[in-house]
Amino acid sequence: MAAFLARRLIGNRSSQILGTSSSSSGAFISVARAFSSSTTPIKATLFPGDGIGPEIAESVKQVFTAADVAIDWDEHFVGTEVDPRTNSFLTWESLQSVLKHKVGLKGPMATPIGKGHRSLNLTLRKELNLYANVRPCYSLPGYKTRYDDVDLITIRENTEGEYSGLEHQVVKGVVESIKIITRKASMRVAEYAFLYAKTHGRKKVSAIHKANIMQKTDGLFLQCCDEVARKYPDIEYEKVVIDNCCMMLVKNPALFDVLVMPNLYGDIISDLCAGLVGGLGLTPSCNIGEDGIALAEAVHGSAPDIAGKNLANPTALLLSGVMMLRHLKLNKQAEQIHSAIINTIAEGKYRTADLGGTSTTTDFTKAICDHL
Amino acid sequence: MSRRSLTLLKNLARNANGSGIQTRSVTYMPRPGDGAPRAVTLIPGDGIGPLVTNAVEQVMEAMHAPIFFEKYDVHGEMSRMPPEVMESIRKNKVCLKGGLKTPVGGGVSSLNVQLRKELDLFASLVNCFNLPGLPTRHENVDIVVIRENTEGEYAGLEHEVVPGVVESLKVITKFCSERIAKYAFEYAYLNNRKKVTAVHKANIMKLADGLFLESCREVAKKYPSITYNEIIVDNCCMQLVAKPEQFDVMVTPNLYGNLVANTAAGIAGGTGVMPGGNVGADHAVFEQGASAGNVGKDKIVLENKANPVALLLSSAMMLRHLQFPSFADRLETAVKKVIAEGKCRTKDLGGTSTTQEVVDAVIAKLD
Repeated sequence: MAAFLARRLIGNRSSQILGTSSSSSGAFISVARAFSSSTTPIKATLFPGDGIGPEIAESVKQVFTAADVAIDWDEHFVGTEVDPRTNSFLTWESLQSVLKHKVGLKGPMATPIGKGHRSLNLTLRKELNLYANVRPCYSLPGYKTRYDDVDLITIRENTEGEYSGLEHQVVKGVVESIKIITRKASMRVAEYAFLYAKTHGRKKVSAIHKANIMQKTDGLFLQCCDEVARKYPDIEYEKVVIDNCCMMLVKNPALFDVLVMPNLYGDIISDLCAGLVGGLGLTPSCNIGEDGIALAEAVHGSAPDIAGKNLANPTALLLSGVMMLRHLKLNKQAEQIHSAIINTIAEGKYRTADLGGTSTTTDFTKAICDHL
Repeated sequence: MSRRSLTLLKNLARNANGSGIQTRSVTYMPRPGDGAPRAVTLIPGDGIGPLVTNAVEQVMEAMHAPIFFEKYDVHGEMSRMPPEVMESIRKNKVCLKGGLKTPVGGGVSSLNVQLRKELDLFASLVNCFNLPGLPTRHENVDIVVIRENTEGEYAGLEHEVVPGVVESLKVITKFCSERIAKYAFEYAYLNNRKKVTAVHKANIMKLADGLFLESCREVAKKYPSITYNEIIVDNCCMQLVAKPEQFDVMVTPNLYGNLVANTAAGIAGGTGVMPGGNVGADHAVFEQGASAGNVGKDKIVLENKANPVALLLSSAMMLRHLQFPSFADRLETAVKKVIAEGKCRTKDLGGTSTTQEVVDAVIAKLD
């Protein structure tokens, strides 16, 4: 993904140089980002969201300031009425902001119920062309679940597949829903998955499918993954049928490293993996779009029942923020904040209610800042 | 008559030793002629199939169960089920089968799916439960997944629109959704289950899964003593991994059922031990509950280390279906004792025994 940014800024000739070794690309990336180094802060869009959103966004801002991360937040809130330009509650200005800054952080948004407008997540996804959803799931040391050795990344195709929304009633009592798989989208997400594996030093990529039953659709997805796999001979590649994958995940999650899959399976598997490590309250996630757009988000709900009571757990949004920093190649600070979070949870002295402790959001945040 | 009272006394004595395994103590009164042997079609299949069906044959012999098998050789690469096999199943009404390997992306439609569609076996049932003595990460698991078996995502209607764009149709009909919902609630009612959960993704697939949910809700109204709730499939998988004790009977459309059944089987002990079957209005086919990985690894076949427990428990379900509950109980008790003892376990349960050793142990424990 950083390669997209560099290529865009420096031009096509550099792509040949970038292609040779990742170390030289690192040099180019830092050149690319040099204009937004410690002197000028990077601008990023922040959507605090609803419910507990504003509190945890506040938490993120505090931690980032304490870690000297030079980010200038451009906050946008969900509107109270439908914006006709976007046909949703998200205003045109918010979308333009993300398109301009190329990075964003999003808190939980409660989609208002009703007809005649698009859901907020759908709007973001379609307008920003967010084609891959990346969710790293790893066991947090110090928070004990039944699974201790989970360390995997799920990469899910986010635009098509079963969620195209194309349904219709054929006759009364018979409904059809269309699942679409295209070569373009499958290639895109497969390329991203292997690139991610390479840049993060991952050894294996598993493509998850049900091509023994859905031969043409998942077959096409697998073909695309096969093609991309041939370009990365040093990354191990395997194909796993989805039901076998579910079974293996609950028996022995250490068998998997990077998982790439179409939309529906990705939805189910990524939530299953989140369950393995402790739930959605601790899981970061990042949506990647064309042109190097990255929108990190917290995937849990807005929890209106604890909103405003200083009880919310900011871990998911903080870890998503760390993913955002890694995308911006601010690896040193990302590592710092990440270790601080892990150590705070591992210590066990400051834990919010959902992790079994009694701390408030502000105490937890302060503990993380102290650990930096 | 005396044989039965001897059995009863033996059981009472065993219970007094605190083995903790329940045995029946109520007399079962068969009709005259019930002991006549019933014919059951047997399809060994591919991979580990022949090994585990052989195991079942041996155990049935040892038990003197009044069934005899009509064996037919079918392999996954065949494009259609041979007509004589279908004839046999239609005549016998019951079939026991090992897995049939479906080539991935090979252009051959799955024989398993074909069989289900032709015989209209609309309900697939997998019973996932903790076996006493088998350590797993989750306790108190006792889930029955009832999955719609004929339509949904597995309708097999795919086509290439233009090169590089492929469509697959998922079909949901009121007829099929209603009958699977009815089966699920009836099952819960007859087996004294307290709760039925419908698994869906109706927030995204509003019409398709919405229709499924509607049917479930209608049927739920007719069974006021059974609690009914709904859960979205991704949340369901998360809850299964975190708190499986909250689930009892789950009714799902085709694809989600496959995933949920395999996840539930995984948390309760693995595919090697979960029984299951497919049932329709007129026929029933019993096979391994959750067949993840198709037909097992070749290495296991070569070393004869396949786990026969799943198919043995499925054949116990088959015996009950054929109205031979006492044989079913004896078989189940023997299998559970072997697992509880822990001395004879195949590789997937953490042991080193071969299939034959497990079979011999089960036969030894039959009373």
